[in-house]
Amino acid sequence: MHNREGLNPPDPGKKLARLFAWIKKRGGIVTLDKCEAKASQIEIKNVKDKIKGIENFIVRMGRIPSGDKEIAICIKDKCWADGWAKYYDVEIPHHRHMKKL
Amino acid sequence: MSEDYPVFSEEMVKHINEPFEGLFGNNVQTRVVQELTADPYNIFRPKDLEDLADASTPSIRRSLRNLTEMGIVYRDKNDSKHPIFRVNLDSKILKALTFLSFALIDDREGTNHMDQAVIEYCRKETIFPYVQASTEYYEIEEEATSSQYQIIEIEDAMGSNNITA
Repeated sequence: MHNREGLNPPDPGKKLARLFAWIKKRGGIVTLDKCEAKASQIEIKNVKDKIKGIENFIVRMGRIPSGDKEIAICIKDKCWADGWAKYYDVEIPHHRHMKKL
Repeated sequence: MSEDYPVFSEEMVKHINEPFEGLFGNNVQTRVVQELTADPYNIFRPKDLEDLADASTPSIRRSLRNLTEMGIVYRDKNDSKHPIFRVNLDSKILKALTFLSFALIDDREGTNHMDQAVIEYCRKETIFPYVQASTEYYEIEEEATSSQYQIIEIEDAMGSNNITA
């Protein structure tokens, strides 16, 4: 795990850091339905409320302009997401993560 | 009552939910590969991938079979009734695709997430000698016919300094 020094608050915690790393690797923006499906898979409850809690300059929720105007989640401050992804070691795959089966 | 949210620009959502921003098209296997790349420490059940990749059970199974043959994923044999797949974390393909996912953002936004990720990867894996240079020790005279390089410390994978020049 990295040093917390230099990381910008708020600390999202490991699960949300993993979710934001997932969003970032999908281009930095995903629809809410996909985000909720992923959140449920990694056992994050009430993801919409959690995102609203840190929403502002870091993460934004908005609507897709066309179609049925679905809600989407966009990471605005990708450096913030990067920092915490590195801190929780969820960014780049490497074999130190391998667990004994 | 519907919640009030701002509307994102067309440009921002141009490739939303398209794997690798549409670079390789938008077929099931590419969507599965994107899911593996985006969360490589996850355990993947076909049902979860059906939801995230918007695909049917047979096409997800076909993709997982192909990716298993390519050594990108492997099946956890502990539970034969409920297939679980894991990413082969030694696969360089997955690592390269992680960098690609950052490169796509960089080209779009003019950032340097891929470069940072490559540096982080090299640091973690201690693959290459770790070279440190600072302005205190390193000097380039651009107009001169020859450049001066004063001190460069090279640290090998074991952490010992080998060269001080």
